[in-house]
Amino acid sequence: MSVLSDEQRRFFDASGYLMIPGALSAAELAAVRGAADQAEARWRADPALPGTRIPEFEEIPAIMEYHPTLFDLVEHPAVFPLVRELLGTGIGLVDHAYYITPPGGHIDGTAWHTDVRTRVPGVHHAGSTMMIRAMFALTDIAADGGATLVLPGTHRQPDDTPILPVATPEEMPGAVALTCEAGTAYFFNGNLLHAPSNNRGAVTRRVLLYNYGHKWMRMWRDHEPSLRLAAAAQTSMRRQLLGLTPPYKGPDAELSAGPNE
Amino acid sequence: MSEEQRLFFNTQGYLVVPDALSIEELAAIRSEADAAEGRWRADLSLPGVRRPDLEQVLGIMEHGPALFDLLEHPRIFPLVRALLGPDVMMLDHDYFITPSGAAIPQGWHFDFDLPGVDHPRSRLMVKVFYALDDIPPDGGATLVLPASHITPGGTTLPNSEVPENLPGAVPMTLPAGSAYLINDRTYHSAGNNRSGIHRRLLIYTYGHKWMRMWDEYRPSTELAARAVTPQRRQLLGLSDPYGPPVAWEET
Repeated sequence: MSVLSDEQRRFFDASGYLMIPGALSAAELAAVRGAADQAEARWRADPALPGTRIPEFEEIPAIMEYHPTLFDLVEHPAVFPLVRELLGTGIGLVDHAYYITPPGGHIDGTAWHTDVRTRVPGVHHAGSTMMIRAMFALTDIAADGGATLVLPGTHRQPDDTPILPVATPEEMPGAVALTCEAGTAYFFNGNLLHAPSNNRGAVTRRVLLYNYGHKWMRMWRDHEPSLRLAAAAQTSMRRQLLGLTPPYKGPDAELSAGPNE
Repeated sequence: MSEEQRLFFNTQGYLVVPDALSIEELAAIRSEADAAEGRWRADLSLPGVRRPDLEQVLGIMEHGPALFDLLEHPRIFPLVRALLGPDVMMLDHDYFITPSGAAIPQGWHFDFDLPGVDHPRSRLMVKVFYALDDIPPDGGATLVLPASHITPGGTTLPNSEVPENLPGAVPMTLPAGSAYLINDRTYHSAGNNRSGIHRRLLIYTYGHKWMRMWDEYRPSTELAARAVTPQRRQLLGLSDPYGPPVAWEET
């Protein structure tokens, strides 16, 4: 039985993205935000921890390493079953991060890109689905608040289609800003043209990223799980997501698999 | 890679390279393969397959420098690179010994049938076979089905009880020192070995560096230490999976 409604599937197939309003309950959002705040405080206190620290963008990579709640979010029931249905039962995880976009930065139009066209060679991306990038909004994100921009339908363009040059991301004709309330999730095909927009609001934008692929794809550099995280992966699904199961053969993990089965 | 070779591979899904190895190269490689086989037979803890119809010495590059250098053989590797691109990486490497008398019922298969991938228009893998002995028509030659690589994912093709009976099958009956290449979607099978000699092949499978290597082929510490060039490190999966590929010398 499909976990995606016909409308959701049609929209994702045609547009390349999907919004899930209210993905996190108020209680879940509070717990996730608390965990993210702890991670951020630890990361700020220790500049030796990896990440991006530039005025317009801060990134804490491998965010699942920081807190069990952030690890559990990788299988959130409002999002993960949908992404799994779109990618297939051999789903894996490619990377995961916490993105913080302070107000006042400047992002130019070269920020438009797809995640897979240049990084995953050998694949005909217009006919394939190699990655789905899921984001959880931890703050309300207004149109001028650094919302992710997407160009609907571009995931099925021929792989050599040039990207229209624009001065700022917001100037791309046809761009849709994924504005949303805190607790919303959205995900998009890794071949969809997308860009961050400039945060001209007053609120720092905070989103968690979980980028899914196939279990036979390598994880992003420096995202291979620590021994501690690997030990915390107590289900076959969690092990599969962390790349701890054979890459090219089954069985694939079931959604309902319990701990230590 | 010549235009003729590229066109043939693109349309047929395989390519034969006669005389890939010189007589001297073949002798050196065969010598290391023999030594590897001797060690593997003497030590049952060494990984591989030990069946009446197939013996597989797993991770053959671990067994000798000539077997490691074969990864970048100057007559074959540039063809692989031309087909896969500069982000090429090794996925697995084995010594396959098909004993005399081996029967291979219903052996036809695709190596990859991966959900999410537009297989007919993608190229994930190129598999290179080096023949270390002459392979006669009844000697277990690999069989390939030309143009089968353009079938969509999920396609089921006939799988004859006797692999040689599949209509259109082309046997890789070749002299020692030859090489042949197939891609990830080329329908293929081992043949029955009804000759009196073992079939001996080295197999080097290449993919892209963003793909996972089988766990059992991850390079040992010793092999990784011998990968002293950026190119060799990329081939062993020791570089950034999604970063820019290394530069390769034009050949």
